[in-house]
Amino acid sequence: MRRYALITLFTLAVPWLAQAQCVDNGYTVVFVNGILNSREKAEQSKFALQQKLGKQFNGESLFVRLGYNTTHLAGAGDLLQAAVQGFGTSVTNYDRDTILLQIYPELTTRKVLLVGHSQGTFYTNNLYDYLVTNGEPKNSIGVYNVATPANYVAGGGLYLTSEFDVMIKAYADGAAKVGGVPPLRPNSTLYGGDSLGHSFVETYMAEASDRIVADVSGGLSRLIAENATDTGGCFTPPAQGLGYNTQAVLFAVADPVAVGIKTGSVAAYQGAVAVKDGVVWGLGAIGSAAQTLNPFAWGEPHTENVPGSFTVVGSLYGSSLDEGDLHELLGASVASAVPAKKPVQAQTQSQPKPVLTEQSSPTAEEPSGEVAGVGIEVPSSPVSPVVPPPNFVELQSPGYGGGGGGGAAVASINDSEADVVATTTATSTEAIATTTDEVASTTNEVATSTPEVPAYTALYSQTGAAVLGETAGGRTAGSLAIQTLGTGLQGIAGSVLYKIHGSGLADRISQGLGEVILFACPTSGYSSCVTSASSNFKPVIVAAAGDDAYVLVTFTGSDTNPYVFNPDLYYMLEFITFEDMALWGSAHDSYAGGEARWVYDLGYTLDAQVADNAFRICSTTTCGDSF
Amino acid sequence: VKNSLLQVWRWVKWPLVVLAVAYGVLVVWRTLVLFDQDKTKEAVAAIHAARITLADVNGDNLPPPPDPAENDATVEGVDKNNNGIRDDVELAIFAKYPNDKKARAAALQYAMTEQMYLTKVTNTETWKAVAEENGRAGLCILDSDTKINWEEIQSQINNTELRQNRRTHNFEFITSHGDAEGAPCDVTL
Repeated sequence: MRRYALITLFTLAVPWLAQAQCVDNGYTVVFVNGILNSREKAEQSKFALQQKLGKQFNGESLFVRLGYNTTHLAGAGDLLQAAVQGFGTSVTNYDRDTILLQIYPELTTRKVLLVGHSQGTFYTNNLYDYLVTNGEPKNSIGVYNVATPANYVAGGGLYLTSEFDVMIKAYADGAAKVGGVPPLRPNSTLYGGDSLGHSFVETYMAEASDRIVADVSGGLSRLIAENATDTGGCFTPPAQGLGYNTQAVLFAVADPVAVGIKTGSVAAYQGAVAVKDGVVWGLGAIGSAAQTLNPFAWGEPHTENVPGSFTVVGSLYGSSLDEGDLHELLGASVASAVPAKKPVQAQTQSQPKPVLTEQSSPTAEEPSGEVAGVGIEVPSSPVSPVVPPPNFVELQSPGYGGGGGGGAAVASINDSEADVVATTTATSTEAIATTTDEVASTTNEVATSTPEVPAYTALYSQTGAAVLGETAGGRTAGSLAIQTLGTGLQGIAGSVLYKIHGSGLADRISQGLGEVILFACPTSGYSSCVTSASSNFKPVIVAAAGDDAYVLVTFTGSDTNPYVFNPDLYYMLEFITFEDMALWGSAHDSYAGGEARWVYDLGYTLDAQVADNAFRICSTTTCGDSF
Repeated sequence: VKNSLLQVWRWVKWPLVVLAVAYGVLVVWRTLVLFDQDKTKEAVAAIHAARITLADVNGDNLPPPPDPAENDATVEGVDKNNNGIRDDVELAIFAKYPNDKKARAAALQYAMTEQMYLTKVTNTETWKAVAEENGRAGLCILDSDTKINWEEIQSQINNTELRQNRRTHNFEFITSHGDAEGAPCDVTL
């Protein structure tokens, strides 16, 4: 008997996993569903995502996998888990490890983007942390979260949350009520969809599929296959030890009993009240539906919570397992009742600072000239405008990847196409800000209190911006605009300023579109150029007029910052634009080191348009607000 | 000594009996599990082997319209031509894509896998096999030049409460998964 006992223990303790071959070519999107989501909806979400994303990206295979976040103990286990996740921790890594173990044989590509929905976003963050901690390169893993109750996106990824997502709103209100940290601020307004505005398929995919595809594509474009842990698979799986298996056995024993109890409750409950009525009643316990639907009430407690309402909600949840929406609602609501501690990584997606004042921009016509080389540019604010000042347009950019790292900026520009001369006037070179908050505060100073453009130190520039080029209509599908920079670059890569044209730029920029990636290429040239010098950019509109805007991308916040140019390497700027976003430039190539190109299928072709991208690279975190 | 042994036996007798019975139950259970595993392997292989044919796409063996009452009386419904696609859904697909073989092929393949969610799932392994084939059918849909309304096909397959309940029940076996390997479309056109 003892022998059998030993054999049993050994069997439970030893990992037994199939290994998948891991290749550099190709991308995998792993969708992690939300708490208590209907199982069918979880699968439908994966399928819908696959249909929207297609089979290929950048000429490589694109696989969509479901990382199923299962329900335990008829939901009670998930409620506890979600509640504790609100504190930024986890009761157990069981679910995370289960997902990892299940997707381990499914993953065959080095480049992986984790896409989470609702409570699944806690897991995408956890999965990212696990993978990075266990040897996977940050550049090959990304996260994109939808309808997230979490207060950050791991790895500086993007997210999408609707103003009208009732459950996230309820979660935020609950967190605010108990003094906890609210989830990331909503960054979209989706009017249609399911009654709760929370369903991945019926709300987010139905109302914002283009944006999701753009965000996911942006996330994928930043992934770089790098050799990681040599385990034979694409990552090191968690140990499937005795503890894990014991938990599995316990769940296996407990789940059927719990489901049976729940099923009985459902029958009794449904005899009296319709399920949808229950949703309304549950909402009533959490807060006023009318105020919940008011986007302007964000962050403010909109109603008094009924004492013990979360217990009530929990009971209600338990009585209607088959109603996915109700489950989602209740799961989020219960979690929201838990006070949250300060997030460890919240700095990467800090909440935007609201309310900024207008700033008169230097609308000067300046002497024309372009300098490709080191120089210090001084803004031209003292110069009087020679053209009528444009109408001021207020724009706000919460920043990339987390709702406002870059802070909001309101400013204006004129439409002057004059190049800015680079002078050698000395200015104090600002130190590169090392945190997002510092960047944000710098930007806010620009927008709120400083009438003049802050000093900056320009390294390289091509500021002719009279011609509109790099239009969406002129590019090959799936391509992105490139400005090659050549070799010989020196100094700190602090920031980039460029001019862009398009409709709804404030919204697009707030989504992270319009960001610029600085690529460091081999000494041999631009082929095999896959190493980004920084990947944690937060584009900010520093000046805007009509459909034009000057966008500042600050090269700070990632692990590689501050990045110092190596004069032996080739460099290039990649502009992450989408649809109606076109770059201003000049009719001729004045920057000797490079030219405008498209990147497509890992190849670089000369620009189909006549314009050459206008840009300015600075060693400072500010880079002016116009050319 | 004999008394001592008897004393010891008195204490260990019942625990040993309990352990023996437990062991017997475990053996029986494991035997059944092993039989079940073999059946599961066969079922998974059958799911992955299921394919629509060019004849199905061409409509060489189109079934007659089924009697609605008979068709909706069971989860499986009526499949007179025995190609894994319920007859009412098969006819609806032909009506929807009368002149587009490629779209028809993708839609029929997807419908077959949706039907398998109802008829072939008995445990996690079989659910996963169907989901993988369903994912492959999704890739085939992407190959089609015509936009295929997969949600409509899904609704047609799960058109009764009986079928919806079965689908919900079978989705209890959901697990993480990818797509089946191989060419996306069963029939290349």
